[in-house]
Amino acid sequence: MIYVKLSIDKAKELGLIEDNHPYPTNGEEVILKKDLLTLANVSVTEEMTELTTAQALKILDTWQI
Amino acid sequence: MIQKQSIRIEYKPLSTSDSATTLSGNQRQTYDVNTGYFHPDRRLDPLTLLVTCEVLDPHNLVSGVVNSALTDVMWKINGDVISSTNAQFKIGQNEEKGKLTIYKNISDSDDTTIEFEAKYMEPKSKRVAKFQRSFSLITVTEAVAQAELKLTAPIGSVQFPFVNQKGLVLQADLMRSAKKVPAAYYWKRDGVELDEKTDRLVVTDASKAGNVFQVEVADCTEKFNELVSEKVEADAEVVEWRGLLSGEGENLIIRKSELKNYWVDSYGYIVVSTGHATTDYIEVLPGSKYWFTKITNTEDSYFRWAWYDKDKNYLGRKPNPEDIFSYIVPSYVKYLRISYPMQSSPKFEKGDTATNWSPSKLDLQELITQKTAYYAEQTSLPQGYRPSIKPDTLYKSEKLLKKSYGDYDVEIHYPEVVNPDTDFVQFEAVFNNNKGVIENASDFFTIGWWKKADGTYEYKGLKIKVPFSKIEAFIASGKGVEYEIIEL
Repeated sequence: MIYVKLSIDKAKELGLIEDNHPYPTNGEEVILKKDLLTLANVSVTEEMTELTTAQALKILDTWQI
Repeated sequence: MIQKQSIRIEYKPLSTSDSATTLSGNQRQTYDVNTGYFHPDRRLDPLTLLVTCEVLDPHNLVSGVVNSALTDVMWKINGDVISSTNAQFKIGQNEEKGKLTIYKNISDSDDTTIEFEAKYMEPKSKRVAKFQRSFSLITVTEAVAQAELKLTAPIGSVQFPFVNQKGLVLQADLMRSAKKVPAAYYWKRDGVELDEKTDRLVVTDASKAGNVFQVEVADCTEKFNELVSEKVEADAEVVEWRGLLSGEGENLIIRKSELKNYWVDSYGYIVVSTGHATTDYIEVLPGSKYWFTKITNTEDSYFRWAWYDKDKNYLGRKPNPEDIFSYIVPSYVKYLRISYPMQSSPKFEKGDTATNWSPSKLDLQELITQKTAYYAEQTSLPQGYRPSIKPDTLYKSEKLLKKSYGDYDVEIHYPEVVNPDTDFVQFEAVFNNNKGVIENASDFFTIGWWKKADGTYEYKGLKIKVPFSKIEAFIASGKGVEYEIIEL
């Protein structure tokens, strides 16, 4: 499964999340599964980083959620 | 004298209904035993459940959704109360009562049930309504077969140049369950990286001692799936359905799970009837307005529907030939089953107005599944594809390739008697094997004539001309015809 890391502001601007979203975040960035972008017809841009499950979990550890 | 008699107000009980929605994530997970990952992983993609609690009051003191006024809200996992401090769960408060977010991955050995309980007290009459819901969380273990790298040399691992001048071939195949895995290839010769990026390496210059050819292969299934997904998402039908799904009211008729060639008969039974299809149970909200719409040109174009109580007991049925009509769900009805012509585009939706036909979410998912299977057959990684960063996990194999000339002999042709008037004497080497004279022998051999002290030769080549004076000098120093075969 592919995940995407992007800024919370961008995710809201694109209509991917709302204020009370349940997805992992460090307060500035959020990790979403790529399917959410696909469902919203949003393409991955340079402002986003694609992550494998392993990479996403590694970042999650650093965020200490 | 004042007469006193008792009087009491008798309230009829509140009736309740609740519905469950999955706001994010999935109640079902798979666990890949090879990678140790859950799909989806709830730490990244949490499961959010919402139980919407409604009351219907025969006295009209209250009605509608009462989530924010719920009391004694309790969530349990396998009978144990979930504490509000448990970091693996987030229990909705205030306006979000009835909502639970689950960050916990469930091991497949656990049979996991999430239960919701809550109460609502109508403030004036103090009547209490209770709500209960349960959810099953399912985890399926998947043992995705390990990939296996096969490195083969279909022409052999020894090149015999007289019969094979095109060279040897190494073929690398990363296989999983007898199917080739999309992959990137990194080749090395004796530890030195080569330019070749495909699954096939042609070797024309293996040495006689042999060279070790290594291949490292990266599984690029994720990249491949992404390419397939891009094609699926660009597919005209998927684009159209996605647009309809987001722009129109939600269609509650799921064609994927319909019972084909069945209809709701005049007694409410679901019986065989060619050309018609019947839905599974569709949960409805009592008192709410729904719309039936369809686009059809078949002879019998009736909607037929049966209605059921909360325990799915049959209560009644009705047919309607119209293509668009509304329906208010009676208070005692909790489920419907609807039949319609199979060759039609039926829609059943909740709302104040009817909207254009759109697929249900599950039917869109089914379309995507079908398109994914189709495009997977039509897609391959770009020729020579490599990820921008070489992955850590690589499948490795190696093979020794070498060159061999087999058995052969050489004949040296030269004049045994030389006339003193001769300027030059010609020497020629002719190579033979069991098939006769070796053609183009100079492509494979050379001859070093009269080796010198420093290791070099007086002459090199299969055919040489030696000045008479040199011949005299060789004879004077007691040398005969000296030569060495050099394999190229």
